[in-house]
Formats: sequence, C-alpha cells, structure tokens
Amino acid sequence: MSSAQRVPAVGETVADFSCLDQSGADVALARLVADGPLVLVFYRGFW
Amino acid sequence: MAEYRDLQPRFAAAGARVAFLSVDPPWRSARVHRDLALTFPLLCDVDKHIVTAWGLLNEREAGGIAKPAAFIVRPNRTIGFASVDEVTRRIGADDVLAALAAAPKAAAEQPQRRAVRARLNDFVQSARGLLGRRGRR
Repeated sequence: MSSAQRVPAVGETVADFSCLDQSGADVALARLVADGPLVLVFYRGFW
Repeated sequence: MAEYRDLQPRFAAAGARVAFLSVDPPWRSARVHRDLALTFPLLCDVDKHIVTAWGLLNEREAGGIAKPAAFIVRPNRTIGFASVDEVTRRIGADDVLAALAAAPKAAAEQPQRRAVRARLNDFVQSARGLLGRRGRR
C-alpha cells in the first residue's frame, strides 16, 4: 500500500483511475491518454 | 488555470490534452469551469483515492486537499514529466510546454530558489492555518 502512495516518478507507469468530471461524467485516465500525452495538473481546489 | 486555458492552442498543437484534478465536488468544479470558461475537464477526486494513490494528499489543510503538482502522462501511462510543489506554488504552464517539446528524460529539478520559496509559502500557510483564516488556491 505504501509503495503506491508515492508521487510517481518519471519513467514509472501509473495505474489507471477514474472519477467524475465537472459535468458528472465518468472519466478514466486511460481514455484521457488514448490520443496522446496528457498534462495532468493537481490543484488545491476552491473551498 | 487561466494560464492553461490561454495556452490551450499550444498544448493542442503539441498533441497534448490537459486535465485538472482536485478533491472538489462536481458542482463546485462546474462553477469554476463556467466562470473561467475552461475548455479542459476538471476531474473531481471526491473520495481522494487518486490524490492518495499519487502521494499528493495534503492532510494538513481543509480536511485534506491535493498538493499542487503537474505531470505529463504518456499514452502508455508512464510518467514523462513530474513537478510537485509541497504547498502553494506550482510550476508554470510555460515550463510544462517546454517539457512536452523536450525529449522525455529526467524530471526537471526544481531550482533551489523555488524550493526556498515553497518552504516560505509553507510557513505562511501554516501561520494562516493557526490564525484560522480560510485560504483559497
């Protein structure tokens, strides 16, 4: 478990994930990278 | 976020898609998406399973939020670029564009100055937390 809770390093392969987007649609990482590289930006959010 | 929105044509030209991810619920992200007229999706990791698995859960703030970070994920789901900022600062979209253009090799190291600034931001955030102020991104 702890090995999975590290920030993935360059060259590492990450597991697929899915969650909802802002419109409530299901989004999977595998689909986002289907056509090319994905720039994935984690942000703090608004609260 | 607006920076990535404005540079969207250049990311598209580089053949890349952009997605942002936070632990915010869809209704809140929908408002941000609309207000900023974004063209890329805002992923909503409401149960925090993604930020946890990626080692990016900042448990010290707002009940647990994502640490600012940027990655390039290649089509085979390998990481082509990674930049993590401990608390508030994030790498600029320009730097990510440059990384997209560059050959995929070692991760860009954060310059020393940026690390110092991150620690300073960390201190300021902690101080704000102690004062009970609610922050925004």
